[in-house]
Amino acid sequence: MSKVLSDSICNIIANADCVTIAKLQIKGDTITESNQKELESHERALINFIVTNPAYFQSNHPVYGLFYPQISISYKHKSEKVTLRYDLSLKKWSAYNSSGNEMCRLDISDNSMLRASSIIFPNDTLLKTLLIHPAK
Amino acid sequence: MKKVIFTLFWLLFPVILPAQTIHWLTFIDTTDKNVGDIDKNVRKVLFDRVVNNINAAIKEKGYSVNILDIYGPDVSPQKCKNLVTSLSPDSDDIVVFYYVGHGTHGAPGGDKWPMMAMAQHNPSLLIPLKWVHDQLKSKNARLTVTIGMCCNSHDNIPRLNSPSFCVNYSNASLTEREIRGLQKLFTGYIGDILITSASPGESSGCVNTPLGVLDTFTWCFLNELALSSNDNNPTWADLTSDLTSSVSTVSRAQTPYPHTPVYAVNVNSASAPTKKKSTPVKVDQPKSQQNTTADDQKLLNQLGAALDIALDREISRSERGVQIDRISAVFTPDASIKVMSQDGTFIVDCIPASNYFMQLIIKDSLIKVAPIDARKSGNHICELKVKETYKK
Repeated sequence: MSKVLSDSICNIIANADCVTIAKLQIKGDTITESNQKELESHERALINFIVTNPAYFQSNHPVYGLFYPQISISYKHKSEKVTLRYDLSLKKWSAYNSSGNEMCRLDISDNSMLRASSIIFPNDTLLKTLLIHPAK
Repeated sequence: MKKVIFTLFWLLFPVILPAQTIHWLTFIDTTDKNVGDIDKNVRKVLFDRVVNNINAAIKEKGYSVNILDIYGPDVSPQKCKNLVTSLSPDSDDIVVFYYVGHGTHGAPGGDKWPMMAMAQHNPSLLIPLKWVHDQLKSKNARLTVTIGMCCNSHDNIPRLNSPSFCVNYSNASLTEREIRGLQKLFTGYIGDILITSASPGESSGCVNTPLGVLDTFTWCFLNELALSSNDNNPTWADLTSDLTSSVSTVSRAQTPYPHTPVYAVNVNSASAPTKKKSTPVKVDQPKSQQNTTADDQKLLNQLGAALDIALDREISRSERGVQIDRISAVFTPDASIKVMSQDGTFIVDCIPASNYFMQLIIKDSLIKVAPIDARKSGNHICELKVKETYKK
């Protein structure tokens, strides 16, 4: 993980004071967050386990889809913030620093983030569809 | 007297008869930071191994070529909309649309076709592939082929309504069988074909090939086209079915993005249209000022049409000579012709233009000369790069 994200970014994720998750909506050129919630300790343990999975840091295969993330996870530590955005259909994720600049984009190697997101947002129809009808 | 003048006019000033035309609308996103470099290779391979070969094969049936090759910063939804709506093919024409770039299905549901990004990310500007096909189909060309190579993955965006001809390191060559096969596919059917590279919910990926990294769909398309052109009786049904299996197999075996194309073939077998007799055409003097990509493409299309007539063995040598004079008139006296390899990677031959044009009359195995780049000096061409296709 620290080979892709810098040590300071890894430090924010490891020692975050607050971790929030939100659904994302894209309208025109803007991305807006909705249903934002702070993760409870058991949810945080699950999400951290998936976020730090080494398999999520291994590849970025070229793909012909637009990156329209559905889920955003923000880690705050003191005045620093790291945001991870997941496109669970395209199977790509990106990390952004406090200024909102994209630091990396990588492949989502399994459906554990999709399953975890579905548990946290059980009524989201797109997440449900992706879970029931995964790309073959 | 009037009749004599009228007859003399027609004898002395041959007019441009509208020949059958194959229109290529290619939109390739070569500027994207993730797939732009791959798409530069895809564009090169698509023209070297698909477009040029099909053009060469159907030239015998009287088809001239109109290429609208949109890439780099020219790719945009507006450009696509403008070109698709303004294209006006004749009833014997063929229209082929080929898009390579990002795309999405949008929200689950609706029809099975994706929406194309056209080198931008604003979801409200996406162009539905089905809209492009319906627009082109409504123009009633003889054959309409619409191909969208992009992802068809799901997201929250609302849906909008709206060959490897064997590795050949010198000039392209087509066997008699390949020529007949491509002629059958492109002039032996009437109707429309719509193909996209992935099923709803799937993403389209890339694969390492002997021609460099390419999108999986285009790699399989040129291989299947090569196989089909070698069939005695190629059909669009077999080509699309084999293409689907091939993309599915290759993407599963070699990439993390398995995907299966979707297609709708609606064609009927028909005899090729009657070839209209070609007559020498005028070649406009290039503009001396800085030209746009469209001006350059227009010049290359016009030169391509004129070179087709210079090579047409069904018209008299004197008429071909007239055409060569008209072509020569737009070149500088010391202009040269660079003959490029099929993949455009090296120069096979460099010949003074005047010698090259005279040889066109006697080279019987040469079936097509495709101009690919013209360098100008003032309002004349001082260097022209071409690719040649020979009959094996």
